[in-house]
Amino acid sequence: MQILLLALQASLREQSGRASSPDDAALVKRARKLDDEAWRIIFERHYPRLYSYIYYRVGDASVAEDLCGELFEKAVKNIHRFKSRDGGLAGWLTRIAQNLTYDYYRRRKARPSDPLELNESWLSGGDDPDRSLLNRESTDYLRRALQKLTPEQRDVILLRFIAQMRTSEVASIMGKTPGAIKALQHRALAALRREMEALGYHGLI
Amino acid sequence: MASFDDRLDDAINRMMAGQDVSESDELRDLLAPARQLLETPVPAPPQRTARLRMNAALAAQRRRGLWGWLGLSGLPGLRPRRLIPAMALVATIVVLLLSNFALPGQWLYPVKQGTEAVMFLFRRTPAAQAAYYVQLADRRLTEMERLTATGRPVPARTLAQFQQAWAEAASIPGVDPQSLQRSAFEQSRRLQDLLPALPTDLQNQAKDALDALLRLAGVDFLTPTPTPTPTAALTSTPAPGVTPSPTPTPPQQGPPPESSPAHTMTPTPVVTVTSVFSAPTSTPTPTSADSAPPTPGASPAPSPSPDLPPFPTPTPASTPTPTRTPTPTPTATPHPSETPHETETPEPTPTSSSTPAPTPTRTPHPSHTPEPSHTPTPTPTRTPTRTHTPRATHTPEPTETAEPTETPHPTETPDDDKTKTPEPTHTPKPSETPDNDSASVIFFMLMA
Repeated sequence: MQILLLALQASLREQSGRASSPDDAALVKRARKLDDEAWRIIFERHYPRLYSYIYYRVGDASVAEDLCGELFEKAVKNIHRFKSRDGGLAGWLTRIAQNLTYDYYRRRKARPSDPLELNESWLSGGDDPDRSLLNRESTDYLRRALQKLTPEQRDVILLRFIAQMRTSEVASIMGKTPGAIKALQHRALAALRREMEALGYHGLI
Repeated sequence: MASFDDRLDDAINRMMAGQDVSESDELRDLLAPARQLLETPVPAPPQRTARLRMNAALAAQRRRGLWGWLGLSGLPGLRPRRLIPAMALVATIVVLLLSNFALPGQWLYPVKQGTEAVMFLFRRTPAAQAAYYVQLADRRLTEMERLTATGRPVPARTLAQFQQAWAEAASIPGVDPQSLQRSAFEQSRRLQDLLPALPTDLQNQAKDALDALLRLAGVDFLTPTPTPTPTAALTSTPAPGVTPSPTPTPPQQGPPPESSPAHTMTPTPVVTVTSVFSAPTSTPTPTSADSAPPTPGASPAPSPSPDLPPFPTPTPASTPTPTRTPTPTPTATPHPSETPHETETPEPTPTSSSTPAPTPTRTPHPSHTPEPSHTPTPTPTRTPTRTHTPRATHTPEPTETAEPTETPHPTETPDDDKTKTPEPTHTPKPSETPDNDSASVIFFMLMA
């Protein structure tokens, strides 16, 4: 079951493509000319992970969808400002997403470190009760453990594992060196494990 | 050896790529939560709303106008509103640049002249202003050349502006005389080449301009046109002093100049110089005429004049010899009248007779002085020999004048006079007599 799930996720990642794939430059060139096809590819390649990232930041699927819409609007309007040194197209889009979530929290007058209130309807797992239970349990622990981390540790976890970005891209977004990101990632994983065990989760092998 | 952080990052990357990771003990504790994170179900993203909003944004961008239509909306800073001032600036620069090539009669020509007027305001020093006037003259000349080359009529105004520019340049004090002279010479050659191509109604005006230019350049003998007043004077004067015996000239000019006869006498020499610059000034010279009557003795002077350096002897002595001097001075308009007198002078009687006419003028001896002034300024270098010589002779031989009357034929006397001429080294005077006229001042500087 678990193997099946892993394979599914791997194919999903492959389908969505990597942020800094070599044809990003060509895509951007066409996107600047408002080419529909180029934008369709960009959308399909980056939307899933951007949505996940925003979702884990705001904890509400409808808000995440709304913010994602706003994100692509901004991308269309500002694509002429994109520079390749901004961490590639993925990094540039993620930075927009990050700013949108900050704006969202500012509007709500809440802080990004507030506990996530995940709308877990999508965790139902379909018809498989075992999978549904597993999802609920692990996600619950994970969510609560994430809240215990420092903002930087949480950011690196979300960008690295949820948005599935490369170390260099995360470094570009967070304004740190790749070496610093690796060290931060190390500390964040250690802290996460500690927090989950502290919460009573023993599923980590 | 890779650090622990590097090895952990590498293992995570392989895990994310779906590869099998052989975990060491030290990594296992950290890779477990990483795997948990990666296995966390990803929410099925509802794409519809986001995709619709992106498409709407794309459509809005395309509607943004011309730049969007051209596919340029993506270029940074290319917003029509921002571009208006930039485009206006570019258009202005283009018009200004194009106007440089405009010719009289074209719609950009007024722009060209306006620009020139504005540019003049940036010339603060007299030297810069003079240089700019010379540049403007050059532009007008180029325009005339281009017009004639393309078979289009040359407006009289352009030629007038050319003359005006040179007049302004020459009237500014403190200009580098050499550069002015060089430019004048260069432009005079171009104008000379252009002359045949000019319409007949402009020929005279162009010749005047050429003459003035050559005078400015210090090449007055090259002047092709005899028409101008100066030439007339030349012919008259030269006759007497220069080549043969002045006799021929005198009779001819005698009558007309009579009006200002006095001048004829001495003035002639002086005139020559002055004439180069400004014909009008020369007129004053007449005063010297007084001495003219005695001129008889002068007649000899002519011959010497060539060898001698310029000598603007003071009024007194000068009077006598003047006659010869005439030869050199030819240029001066007034001379004509003088020459005649001279001829007369030779004859003893004439002195008396001549005196009458000239006398009036002489009395004004004071005016005399002025004459000398003319001489110096203009062509100190060239004329000197001729004009001055005569005078010199005068001084020494004033007495002779009396006698000379008989000598009627100046020609003979000349030889003797020649010898004398040298004596009159009074030259200094000329220099003193600086003209007030700015043009003459410039010439004087040129000569220096």
